[in-house]
Amino acid sequence: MNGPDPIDRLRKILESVAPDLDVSTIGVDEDLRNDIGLDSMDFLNFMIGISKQLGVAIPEADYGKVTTLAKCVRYIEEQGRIKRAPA
Amino acid sequence: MSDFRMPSLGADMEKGTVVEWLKKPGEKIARGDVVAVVETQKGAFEVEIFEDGVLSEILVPVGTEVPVGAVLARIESGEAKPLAKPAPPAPRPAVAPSPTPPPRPSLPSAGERLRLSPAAARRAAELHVDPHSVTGSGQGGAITLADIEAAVARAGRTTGEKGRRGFDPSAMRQAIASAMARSKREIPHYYLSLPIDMSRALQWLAAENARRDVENRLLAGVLLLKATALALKDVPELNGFWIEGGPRLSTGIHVGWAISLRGGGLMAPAIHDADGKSIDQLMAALRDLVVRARTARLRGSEMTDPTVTVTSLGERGAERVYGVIYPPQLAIVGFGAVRPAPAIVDGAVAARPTVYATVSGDHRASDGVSGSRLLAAIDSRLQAPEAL
Repeated sequence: MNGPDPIDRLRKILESVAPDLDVSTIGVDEDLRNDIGLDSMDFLNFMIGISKQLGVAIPEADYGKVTTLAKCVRYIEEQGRIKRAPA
Repeated sequence: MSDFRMPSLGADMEKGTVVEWLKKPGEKIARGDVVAVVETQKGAFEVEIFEDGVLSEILVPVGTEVPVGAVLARIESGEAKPLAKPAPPAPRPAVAPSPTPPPRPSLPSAGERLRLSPAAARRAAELHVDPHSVTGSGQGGAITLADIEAAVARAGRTTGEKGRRGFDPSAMRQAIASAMARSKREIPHYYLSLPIDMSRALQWLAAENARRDVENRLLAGVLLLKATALALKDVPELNGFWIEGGPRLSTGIHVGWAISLRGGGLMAPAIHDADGKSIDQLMAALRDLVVRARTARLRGSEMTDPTVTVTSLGERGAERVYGVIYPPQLAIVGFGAVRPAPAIVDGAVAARPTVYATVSGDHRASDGVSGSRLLAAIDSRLQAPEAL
């Protein structure tokens, strides 16, 4: 991922879908469902945010590969489709 | 002239605090308008009015705690029909405390002459804002939550909307404690469960989601919700309230969907007429409800309207949940996590994705045979997911 810290970009998306979370405290290897407490609706909204803002549509069958922020970054990088963020 | 009173937003509410007036004296109001934000033990709610007219006088200023039933404002009725809405099923017969005890201002003493709502005070503390530096726009110059946030925004900091407005976990705990204790004290529950084969429903869902854009994907919970709403049409004796010693069944099926809050506690606001909504409409309604529950933007009526509750534990939940009925409702339907379980298929054992559906019913209003019929109806609806 290019541009600003990719983890920060994901945290921003997370903040918009779960405004009651303090996203700055979420560790990159924490499980978003089990450790952070995202429910299936939050997680779907996170996927929607990634699709809209980063242009990567993660199929449902791949949800198991994006359980942490670090894994999300890896997955998105593998897709090789992350766009360079405007400055 | 009529009275706008502090509503009862649930079996657990005894008092509330007006934290914001959204209409001013002299302003025209129409049925359905949100006129005030009220803070309760479960957080803040937007309270609507159920008649047309003009707000003639505000009697309870912002920041004042009053009991349920206390007159908050007077309404000059237009040629309006009087209260078109049947009085919401008040958990306790809505006895207006008479005479109304003098409102006790619950202002932080540290505020001295400063007038600010508890919600605003808390927010100011969270955001490290000195309330003395903020100009109040509320009743009598009181500082509202919005004033605090506006001051922060002006100072160029983000509010970073953490937590729900007016949310106090210990007060929430207390509210749940009193409602659940009352339920267990007064309602003789019966409990039933049925394992349901989810193969078809999940296959249908996976195929649907594979062909849908991310934004339009569905959650399994929506299928459970719709199946339950449709099943209640077949078993109406579990949909409604127990009021004044008897069942009062409801024709509308307004499902209270239990939403767990990360700060602790839960609430179950209404999805109105769930049986008549399409799967996509239900998905949209659910999404909207979850967001508003998390940010405390629920309407008062959404707390009082549910005619039944559904609690779905989600993928990471336990196998079964036998819920405690939320008074004065008649039943609560529960779904555990979907898990592979052995099933007998064509005389042989096979692993099938399975969900345990449960119902806790009020034995005063119905018998186990009704509950069994409800579970069977939910099962049969889930075997034809394309028809949901």
